[in-house]
Amino acid sequence: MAADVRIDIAAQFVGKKAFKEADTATEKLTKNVKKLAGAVGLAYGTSAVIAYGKASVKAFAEDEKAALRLSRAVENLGIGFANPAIADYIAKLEKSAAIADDILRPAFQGLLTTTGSLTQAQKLLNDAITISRASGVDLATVTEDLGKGYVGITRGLQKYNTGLTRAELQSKSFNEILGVILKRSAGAAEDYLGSTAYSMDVLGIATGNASEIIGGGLVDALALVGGGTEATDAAYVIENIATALAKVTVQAGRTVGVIPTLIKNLKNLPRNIFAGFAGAQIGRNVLIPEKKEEVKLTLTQKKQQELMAKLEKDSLRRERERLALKNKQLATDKAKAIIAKGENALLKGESVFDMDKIQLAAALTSQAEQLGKATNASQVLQIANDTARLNVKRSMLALEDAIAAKDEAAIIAATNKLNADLKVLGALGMQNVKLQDIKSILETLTPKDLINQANLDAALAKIKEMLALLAQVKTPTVTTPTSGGAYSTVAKVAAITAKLPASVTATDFFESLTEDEQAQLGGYQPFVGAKIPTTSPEIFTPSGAGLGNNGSGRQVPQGVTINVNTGVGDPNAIAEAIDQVLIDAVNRGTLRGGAYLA
Amino acid sequence: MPTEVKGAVELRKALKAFTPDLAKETQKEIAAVLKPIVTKARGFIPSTAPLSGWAQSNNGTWGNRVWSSSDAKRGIGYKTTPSKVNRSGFRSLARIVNASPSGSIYETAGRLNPQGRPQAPMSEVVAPRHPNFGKMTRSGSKDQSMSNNPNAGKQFIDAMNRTSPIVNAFQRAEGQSGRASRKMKGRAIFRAYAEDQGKANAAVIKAIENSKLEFERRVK
Repeated sequence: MAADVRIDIAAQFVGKKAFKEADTATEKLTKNVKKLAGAVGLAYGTSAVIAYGKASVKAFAEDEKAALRLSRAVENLGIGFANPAIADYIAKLEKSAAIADDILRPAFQGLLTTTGSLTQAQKLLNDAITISRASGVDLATVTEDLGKGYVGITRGLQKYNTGLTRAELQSKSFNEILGVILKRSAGAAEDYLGSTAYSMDVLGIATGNASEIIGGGLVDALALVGGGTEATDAAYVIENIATALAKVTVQAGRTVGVIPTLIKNLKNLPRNIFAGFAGAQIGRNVLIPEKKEEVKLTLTQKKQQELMAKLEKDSLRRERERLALKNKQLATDKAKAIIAKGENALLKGESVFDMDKIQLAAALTSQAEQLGKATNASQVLQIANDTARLNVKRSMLALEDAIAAKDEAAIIAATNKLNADLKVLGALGMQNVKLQDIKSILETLTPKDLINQANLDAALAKIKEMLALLAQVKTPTVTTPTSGGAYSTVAKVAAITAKLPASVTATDFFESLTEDEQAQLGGYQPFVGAKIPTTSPEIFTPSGAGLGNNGSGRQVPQGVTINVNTGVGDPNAIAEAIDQVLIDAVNRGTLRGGAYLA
Repeated sequence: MPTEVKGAVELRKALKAFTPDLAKETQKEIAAVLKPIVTKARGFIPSTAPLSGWAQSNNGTWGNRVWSSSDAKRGIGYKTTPSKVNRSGFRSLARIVNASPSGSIYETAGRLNPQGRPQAPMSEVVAPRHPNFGKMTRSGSKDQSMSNNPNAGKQFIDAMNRTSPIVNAFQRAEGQSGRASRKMKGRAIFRAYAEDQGKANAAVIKAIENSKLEFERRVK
């Protein structure tokens, strides 16, 4: 309950990550403070001194390793003589920029091997420090990015918020990009020099260097005590003497705090003295054979200058080659762009000879000519329809071309044009449909009755014509072997119509007729297969077969010829009329000498 | 090795490491700001128990919560050392506390339920081996009162309200949104803090700022 009953004043949000960072920072700070305290011989317990001694040895070893790596890299470039100058440069930079030498060395080494130029590497390292201060990105990453950028891989430079696009990063030269980054980072390094963080870094570096210096002395001294020259021997000795030192009082501990300083001074003494002293302490001979000095050829000032000039010259040559390569690449890209442009132009040229387009243009021209010759609205409408269709076709072709060219603006324009043409065509089509509709409606209004006034008038006219013909033509006589006559349909009609009163209409008369009679008057369509002869039928010529009295009994007696003069008419009707005459004759008993069956 | 000082917590560590005198000075400065609030808060603690029975020695549930004016006053104090990180990830650099049990009860009683907790209902004990098996007992949660007096909570809170009302010390910052915390209400330290009207808070922050500037001046 008590946990809630409090008022927090000026709380600080540390969060999970910040808490961890704060802890790490505190640990580092504590470590550095302890190191510093150890270095100046402040009151620290024995264990702290021993631990500090071990850490110092380790720090020295790491520092030495990094220095050796850099030294080897410089020698490989052929300027080994410049090692002292480089070490001096690193030391000065460490103090001025407050960046530990164990960070500066690998960074400088990377740049030196990449550029192959001492001056270029120094310049880039200074730039990298500025950029690192401005961006917050650690120096190792910045130098790596700059090194890559120097050889043309500018992708890593994107993270420094240059404001350049990827294409620009690829096309611009490294120096241009670096210029942009430096312009944006200007003043960051100077600002940092005025901050508390800088002060703390200076303190940290000072304690770190103190550790390395002391560590170096300890390694030399204690390794000799341990019987070797390596750091491992020194560490072994430190552990062994830790037990003895642990028994020393606090006052003694303070004294021990001065040991590192003493050891550092001892380092400057001849080794044999120390070795002899240590050997006497542990009762064994730890004399180490004198290390032979390496015979190094010293270069004259002139030679050194020559070598440096050669290095710079080589570096410049490589840079020139790289630039030439890049220019070549750019030229190739440019040529590709020109080719692409030419291809586009070619495609445009091809469109001039496009057969579809030519035909289309010709058709449109033809339509225009037709329009000039049109004499009525229907023709104009038809021409307009055709023109609209041709326009639609042309718009479709244009759209296809635009799609093929992937030209967005052209596609949109062609689509709009096509839609507009389709609209025009639709409007014209609608007009056409309407005209057709009206026509069909009018046609439906036309009477389709079988008998109408016109037909009847025509029928009457025909009848009159027939009557006129009948008046001129003799009544057909049927020459029969028997007496009596027979009326044909036409005759019958003539006889009837003569008796008709004036009140009887033609319709009444027509309806009173039989179907056959109506057919004869043209009221019905004649039989499809019927063939109406245009000339008089041939005179019947009886065959000679079966003649005489010994036949089947149904043959015409020999020597009798029947001629029927029917005039022009329906053969069927004529046949029926003849048949009727014969039946009547049988009924009357006038037809003898054979049977006649209907 | 490079070390970066960030925020007040780190600044305090740096102060202690490099300028111990400045660190002590800063703490003294902060203490000087907080002390008047503490004194005032102690003045809000009644000299007698708000309820007469509360001061009687008891061995039951309230055995360690017996009212003692002196304990309650002593329990009110301040701290200028950074606290542990709370669940929200905050560390307070300075704080006023009411640490005694009776004092904190007096501080907060009625903060959540101004009318007292509702009474827990009666229910039959159904566990066969329970000594009260078959009997009706009052059973409820922490949010319910176990007293047979339905007005017990209200009477308790009313008695304390007669000596000092609950005051809300929450100050909405400019542009701050969201629900106001009810944990800024109380009768002693919160009341004193509210009456201070944020002056102490500003003074503490200023003291930290001053120490930062002084530290930078000395280190350079």
